[in-house]
Amino acid sequence: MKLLELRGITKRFAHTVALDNVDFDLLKGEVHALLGENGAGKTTLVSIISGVYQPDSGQILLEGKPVTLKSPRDAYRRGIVLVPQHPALPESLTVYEALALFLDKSPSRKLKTFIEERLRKFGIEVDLDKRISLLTPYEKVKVEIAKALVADAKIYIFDEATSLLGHGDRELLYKIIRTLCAEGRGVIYITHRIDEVFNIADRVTVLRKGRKVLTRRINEVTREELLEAMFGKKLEEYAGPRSASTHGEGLAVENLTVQDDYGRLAVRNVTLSVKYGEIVTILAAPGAGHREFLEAIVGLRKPVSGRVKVNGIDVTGRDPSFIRRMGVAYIPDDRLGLGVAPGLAVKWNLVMRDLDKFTTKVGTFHKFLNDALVKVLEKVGLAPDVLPVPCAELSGGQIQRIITARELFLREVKVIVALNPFYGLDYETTSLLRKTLIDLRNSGCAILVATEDIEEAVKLGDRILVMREGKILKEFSGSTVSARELAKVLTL
Amino acid sequence: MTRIRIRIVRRERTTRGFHLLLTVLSLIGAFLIAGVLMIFLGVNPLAFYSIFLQSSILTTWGLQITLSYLVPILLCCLSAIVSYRAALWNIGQEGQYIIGAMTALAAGAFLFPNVPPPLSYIILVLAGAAGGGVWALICGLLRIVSEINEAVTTLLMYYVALQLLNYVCRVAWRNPAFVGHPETYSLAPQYMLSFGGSLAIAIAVLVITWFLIDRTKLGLELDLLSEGFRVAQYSGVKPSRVILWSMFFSGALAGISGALYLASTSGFLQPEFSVGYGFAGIIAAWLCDLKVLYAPLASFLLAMMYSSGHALQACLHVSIDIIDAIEGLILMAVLTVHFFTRYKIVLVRQ
Amino acid sequence: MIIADILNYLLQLGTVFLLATEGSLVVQRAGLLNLGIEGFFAMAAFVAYLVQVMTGNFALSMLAAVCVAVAMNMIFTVLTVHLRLNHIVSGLAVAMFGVGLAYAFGRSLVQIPVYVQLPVLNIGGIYIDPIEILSFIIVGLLWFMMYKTKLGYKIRIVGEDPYVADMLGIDITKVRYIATLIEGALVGMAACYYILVSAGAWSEGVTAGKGWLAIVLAMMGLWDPLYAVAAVYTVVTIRDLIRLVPGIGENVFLLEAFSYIIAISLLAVVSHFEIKKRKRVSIPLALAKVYSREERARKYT
Repeated sequence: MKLLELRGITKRFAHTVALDNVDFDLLKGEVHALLGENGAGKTTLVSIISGVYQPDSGQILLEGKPVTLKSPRDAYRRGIVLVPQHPALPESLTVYEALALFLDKSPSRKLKTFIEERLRKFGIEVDLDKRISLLTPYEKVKVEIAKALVADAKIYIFDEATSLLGHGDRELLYKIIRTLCAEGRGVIYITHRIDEVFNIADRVTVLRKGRKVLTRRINEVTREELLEAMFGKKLEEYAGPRSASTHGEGLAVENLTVQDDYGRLAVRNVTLSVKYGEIVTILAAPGAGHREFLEAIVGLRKPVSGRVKVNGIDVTGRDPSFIRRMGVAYIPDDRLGLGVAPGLAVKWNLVMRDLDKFTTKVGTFHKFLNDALVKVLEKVGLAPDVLPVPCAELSGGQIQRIITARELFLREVKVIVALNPFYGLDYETTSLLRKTLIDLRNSGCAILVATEDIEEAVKLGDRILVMREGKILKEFSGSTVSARELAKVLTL
Repeated sequence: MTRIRIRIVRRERTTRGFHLLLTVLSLIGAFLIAGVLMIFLGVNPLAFYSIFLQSSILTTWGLQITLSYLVPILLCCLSAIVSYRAALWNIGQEGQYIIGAMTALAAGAFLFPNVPPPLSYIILVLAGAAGGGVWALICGLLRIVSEINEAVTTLLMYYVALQLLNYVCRVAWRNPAFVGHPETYSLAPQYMLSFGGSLAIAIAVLVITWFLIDRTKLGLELDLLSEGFRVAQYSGVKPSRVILWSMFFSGALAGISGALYLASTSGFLQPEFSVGYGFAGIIAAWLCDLKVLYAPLASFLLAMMYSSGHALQACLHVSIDIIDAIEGLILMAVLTVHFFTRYKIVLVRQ
Repeated sequence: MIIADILNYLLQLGTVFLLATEGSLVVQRAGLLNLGIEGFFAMAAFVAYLVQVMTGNFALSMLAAVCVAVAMNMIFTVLTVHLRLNHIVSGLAVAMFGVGLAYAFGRSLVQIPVYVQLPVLNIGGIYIDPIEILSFIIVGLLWFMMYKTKLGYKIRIVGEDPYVADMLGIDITKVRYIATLIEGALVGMAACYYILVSAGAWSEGVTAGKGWLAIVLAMMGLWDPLYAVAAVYTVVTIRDLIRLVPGIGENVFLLEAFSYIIAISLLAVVSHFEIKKRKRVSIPLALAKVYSREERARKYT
């Protein structure tokens, strides 16, 4: 019996098609894994199933009946609960109050006993009386799981739930999922790790660039087939020549310690150096501290202790525009939140980091500005007619090209820092960006890329560092390491 | 089973013509509702429309009055544009207008009464700008230091200004020559402006503002601030610095408005000096979609409202306060346009 | 005896501001910054006065005031919740509309005083009327609602982070409607009590600034129903004792300006303190921010 069926779901955002005519179904008592790269459309698909997004076209059937899921509340009432990738919990309440609110019940002794029993049954340990604002991100994920479990739902969705969990808790989660299935519920399990799929799933669906590539029973599919489906021709692509010569120290980081937004130590005493003419990649799982590390280097975060030197000059704790003027480029992964000002035209997004260079003493813009902009747009393969268009109306790939043009070509840069630069990009933009980075390395730039993607780390890095829990775990040479070896270290 | 549901969907880019069409339609809608209000007040709506047009543009005398209101409203409109472009919600233009007039009077009547004309006008404008600017700057400081919403503080500072206006008219600067009605001493004669003079200064200020906001990086800094602190910081804009100077700039424009209005009308202050040009300016700013070049047109429409107010009171015995209500309606209508240019409502058949 | 008179006077004015402040507090807690309160305070006061003049029935006047305030507040809710428009400008529009309408209609009235004498409880020269008692009961009820009931939790979460509320399955639109409903009712009561019991007659500018001050008082009380009592009575005492100083004459304007400055300074001090304690005090962090589910969710994908 089909618990859930999606027929021909399509969802567009401005100029990108996030989901293109996707079919999906879920049976009673099964785990259906949803596999795909970052940006393949997995999260969009579950957002539609859990009522966050409305599909542009297509049909959703619950137990054979067509339904409209108007909101997360509506989905929840119909028996669908989601454990989101990023915990979204009320900071000012205690865990217990939040759970009570989710069940739409007034707090009472009886309810508390019920919740405690239910959590004990699944073996989840959370302090019910602790305020959520005092929890660590890792504890918050557990609260999200607890929240889903206290609800008596038919369909459970776990969106990359293990990315923030430790190893022991991962096993616990697998056990919970098996219990849920034994009770006749359905589980949709989203991940980008193939190992997990073989571990837990009954069936697997692979998405690539918003399209469904395959749906198979797990015993009818091999790891290679799944890899092929996830990445397509990307696998046999480019593993180009490594750096020929390096000279001098472009970026030097000494004993850097940095806090995250919650005041935890995200980076602990990290030392590294990047020479001119080499690419160093940091491979890390989400939340490993690489984000905070890069932000501290480019001045977006004040380090607790340690030193950052660019070309031998100490820039520790200086503001981003000062560090920019030292010839540092930064490509952030939060493109709409930080990379560009979405409401402003491309033109202004291009000049915004180099106002000192393109304005006169009075503050007016130089006459040669437009010509300069047209020239850099050409380098990233964009036509000049995007100049007056607000960035919010462009696709992710176009936005990344704009960021690339601004950071790399509008000023002479010596040091390039990039965070997840290929996340969610189309094939063409990915190749263009990779080629650009390699060209700049060959012409003598020092490049530091932090990525969550093993393939990218291998393809780019002359040296590859693996980061976990704020520390550099191990260093590899790019010419000898294999992806398999890296995966082992990353999942230790 | 087919059910029809309403969904709000983000629109792709709209053309300028579409925006204009919606604006015109919304204004017509606002005036139609105003007509209905007239029926409730016992007035023939057609008479209302005809008096409105006659007293504001169709007669030379009416047109003159309208133009005289244009200057203060235009400057308050610019003041609103400057702060709203940065997503700073200065709604205390009226207060800054009062303080600007007061500082101008202090300069022109007490501090430098003997300065000769070309210099006197410069002093007049600078004094008004300084007064209004500092008045708004206080709210900018409070925003930075204590994170208090500037909309709330600018509003409260309007009340402070209003009380101070009453105080200077009745006590501090009261001119004993006027018996009965509380009025202050007047500006020295060389400070007085003709209507043409004040319009010329207003146009000069408009051009300067346009240049700064649309042609230099100052405008870009405002826009970046409105996109959020993180983006601003990343692009090298210091949020607190932009907050301070844009609040000062915004307040200064409203202050100049007060100074010019004082110098081009009676030359002395009275408790009735505050009649709501500041609030009219805010509406005009939304009406012109925060574009400096369209500000004169939008301000002119609001000025028409003001010039017809007295005629409505005299001919139709409607209280002048109805102008406030109609302004409120126009603002609602114009805001609705902003909704429809960003979103569209679609019916979905399931 | 003079002290008792002063206390009576303060209690009366305090009640007006307390009711309005508690109303504004509820709606701010739900994340809406409603400047329209100035407008429907004026309209409610005008309607209460009109009904009282026509019928002489206080209960009926209050009912009418509450209805008008609630109805006008719905304009604001539609503009901000459904049309996703800027709270500040929408509120300003409602305020201008309400104030303009109230005084336009109000001027045509004959301005006869209609002081309503409510039955009072005499405690040592201090007269306490039922509305004054009610205002304190309402404070208690709101406190209970805010911290002990499901609805209170929902209102707080919606104001703190609408996205989280949405993911918890809370109907944001409904919660915000309930909050504006409560605000409308309380402000309607405040306006009716003010015009009929405290001011006693309709006159030009009689309600000016009352609503806006309530917004500030709610912030000053850190959006807590109990702290708000302290905020209201502190500011009302400072503000209105000034008028009672003998021989103050026209200097009252200067002192009144000063009282607003004191209010702003107090708010600055309280806010400064609150920033440091943010981890412990729950506050509407999403105040005046427009929420749209799909646009918010996109930032996470």
